[in-house]
Amino acid sequence: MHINQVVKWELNLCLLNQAILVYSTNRSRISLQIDWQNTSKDRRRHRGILPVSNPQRLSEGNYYMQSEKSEGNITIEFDARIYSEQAVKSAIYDFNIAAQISLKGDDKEIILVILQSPVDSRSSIEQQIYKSVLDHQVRIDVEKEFGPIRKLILAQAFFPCENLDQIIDEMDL
Amino acid sequence: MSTPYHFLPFRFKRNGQNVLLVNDIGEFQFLEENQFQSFIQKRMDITSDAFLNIQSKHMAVIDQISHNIDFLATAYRTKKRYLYDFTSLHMFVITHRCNQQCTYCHASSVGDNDNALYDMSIETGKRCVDVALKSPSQNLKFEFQGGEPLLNFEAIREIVEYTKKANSIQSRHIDFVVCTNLTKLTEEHLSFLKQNKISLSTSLDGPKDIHDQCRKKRSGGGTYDLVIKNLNWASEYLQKDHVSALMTVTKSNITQLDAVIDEYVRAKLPSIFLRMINPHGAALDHWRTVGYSVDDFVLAYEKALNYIIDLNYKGIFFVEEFAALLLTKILTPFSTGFVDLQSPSGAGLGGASYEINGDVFIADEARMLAKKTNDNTFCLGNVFRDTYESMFCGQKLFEIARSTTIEALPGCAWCVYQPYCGSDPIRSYLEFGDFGESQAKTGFCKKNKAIFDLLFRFLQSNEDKVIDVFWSWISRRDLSQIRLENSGHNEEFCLQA
Repeated sequence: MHINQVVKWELNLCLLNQAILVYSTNRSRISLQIDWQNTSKDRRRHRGILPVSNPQRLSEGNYYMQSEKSEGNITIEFDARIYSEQAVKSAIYDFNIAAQISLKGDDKEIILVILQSPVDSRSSIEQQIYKSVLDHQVRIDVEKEFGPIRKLILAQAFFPCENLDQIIDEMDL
Repeated sequence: MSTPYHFLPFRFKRNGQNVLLVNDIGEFQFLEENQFQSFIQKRMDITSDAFLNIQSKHMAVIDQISHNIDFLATAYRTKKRYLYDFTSLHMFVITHRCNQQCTYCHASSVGDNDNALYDMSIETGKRCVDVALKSPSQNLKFEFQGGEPLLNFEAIREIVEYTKKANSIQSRHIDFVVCTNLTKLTEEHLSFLKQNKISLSTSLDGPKDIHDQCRKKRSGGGTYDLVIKNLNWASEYLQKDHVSALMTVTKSNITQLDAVIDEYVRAKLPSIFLRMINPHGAALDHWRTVGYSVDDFVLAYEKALNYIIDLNYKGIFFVEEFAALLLTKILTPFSTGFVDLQSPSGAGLGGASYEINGDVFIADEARMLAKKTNDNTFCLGNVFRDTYESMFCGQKLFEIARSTTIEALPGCAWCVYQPYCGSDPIRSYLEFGDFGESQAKTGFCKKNKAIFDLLFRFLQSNEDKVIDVFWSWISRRDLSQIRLENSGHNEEFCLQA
C-alpha cells in the first residue's frame, strides 16, 4: 500500500488536520498511528480533537488505524444509465471510506474504487455498498417526483400563495 | 399512462426486514420489504391497508394534491414554530467563582475567595438585559449560571428587578432560573426566589458514593449531604415544580444508572435527563477518569430507559426527559424549545450566553470554548460595543444558521430521522473544525441516531404498555390517567364518546 493512499484514507476521517502521523510498514500490513501526545496541547484544545468517535484507542492519547495489506482495491462498476454519480457519492459518504469515482466508456459506466479495504471483509463491504447505492438511487428517483412538491410545501408554509391549484396544474404531475 | 398515486416527500431507512418511512413533518410508517418494493414501483394496491396507512401519513396521494400540500405546509410551519420565537433563552454568567471543583466542570470556574473581578457587574448585567429584551420572542427565559451564581446574588437580585421594570410596558412572559449547586443557599435567597417565582435547577449525580466522586468542594469533601438537605428545603419552600435537577453521565455512574434513577425517585424528583458528558473545560482535562465512548453511553441509556419504563409500570410516574423530547417530536405535531434538536441550530437562534464582561456567545459551550482556549469563533459581539441587530442579525449568525440547516447537509439530508433532529455547531467545530458540514460524522449524530433507533424499536413493537408510558411522558400525566383506569374516567369517557 502506498503511503499516499494511507494519507488519503485517513484524511477522509477528517481527523488529522492537527495531529502528527507516524507510519510503520511490514510485509503484510501498514500501520498508521496518530500521535496526539506529540501534537501541541494548545492546538489540540484549540481544535478540540476528541477522544470520542475515533478509531481504537491504544494508550493514553494515541489512536491507530491499520489495514491488512490489500492485494488490490475493490472496484465496483455501475451502469450509469441506471445509477447516478450522486447515488454512488452519497453511499460512499455514508460509509465514511476513501474512494475514487470515475467515468468510463463514454460516461456509460461509473467506476468506484474503494481504497484499502481489509481483504477478509471485502465481500461484506461490496454487498453493503451495492445495497446503499441502490437505496440512494431510489431516494433520487422518488425525489424527482416529489421534489417539486416538497419545494411547494416549503413555500406554502412560509409564503402562502393563493393560486396553489394553478401552480399544481402547471407542474403536470 | 397515468399513475395510480403520486409520491409525497418521505425519507426511508431499512431496519432488518422492515423499512421505516418518515415524512417531512415527522409522521412515520413501517413497511415490510415487499410492501416497500411495491410502493416505490407504484404497484401497491390502493385499497390495501398498507396503502391506506401510507396515504393517511401523507406519503402518497391519489388526488386532491393541493389539500395535502396545504395540510403539510401548515404542519411543517407548526414543526418549525421555534423559528418564530427566535432567541428566547438567555443565559447570564453571573460569576466565574465557585465553591466547588467538579471533575467534569465545563465552566472552568475559579475559587470562591477570588475577588470580584470574576463577577458580572450590575452595569454589565443591565446591558445584557437590554440586549436580551430586544429579542422578538413573547416568551423569554433568563438563566443565571456560573461558577456558582449564588456567590454573586446581589447581581441576580438587581438583574431580576431591572428586568421586571424594563418589561413592565411590554409585559412579556419571562421565566427566571438559577442554576446552582445549592450548597450556598440561604433563607434570604429562597425568600427572594419565592417572591419572584424564580426556579432553581441543580445537579444531582446519584447516591452519595456516586455524587461525591465528581462533585466536590474546593475545601475538600463531597457535597451530597448538603445538596440533599437543601434540595428538600427548597422543594418545601418554593413550589414543587420550581425545583429541578440535572445529572451528568460520567464514567463513575455510567454502569449504575439504575441507582442514580432510584436516588432521583427518593428525592421526589419527577424526571431525569440522562445527559452525556460534553468534552469541554475540566471534562476534557480529566477525560480518562470521566469520559467514555458514544457506544458505552447508548448501551447504558438503553438499560436505564428500560428501567424507567418498568418503574412507570409499577405506578411510579417518572420521566426520562431526552426520550420525552424526542417522542414529542415523533408522536405529536409539535416541536420543542430544545436547542440541540433544531434546524437551523438553536445555538444563537434559540439561545445565547452572556459572559461576565458582556461578550455574547451562541451557546454556553461556545463561551466555555472561548474561556478555555481564547477561541472566539462563536462570539457574536459585546453588549457594550455592539447592537442587538449587529449581533443577532449579523453575518456570523447567518453563516452558522446556513451551516447548521440539516436539510441541506450531506448525510443529514437523506437521514430518516432528520425531521426530528438538529445540529450542534460547537461539537462539529470541536471534532472537525467546521460549523456543521460534518455534522453526520460527529459523536452527537451517532448518539442521536442510536437513541432514535432504540425509540423506533419500541414504537415498532407497538406494545400497549410501552406506548402508554411514552404518552404519559409526553402529556405529563401518570399512567393510570393515560389508561383511563381511575374510577369513573373510563365510563365517563365512553359516555362522552
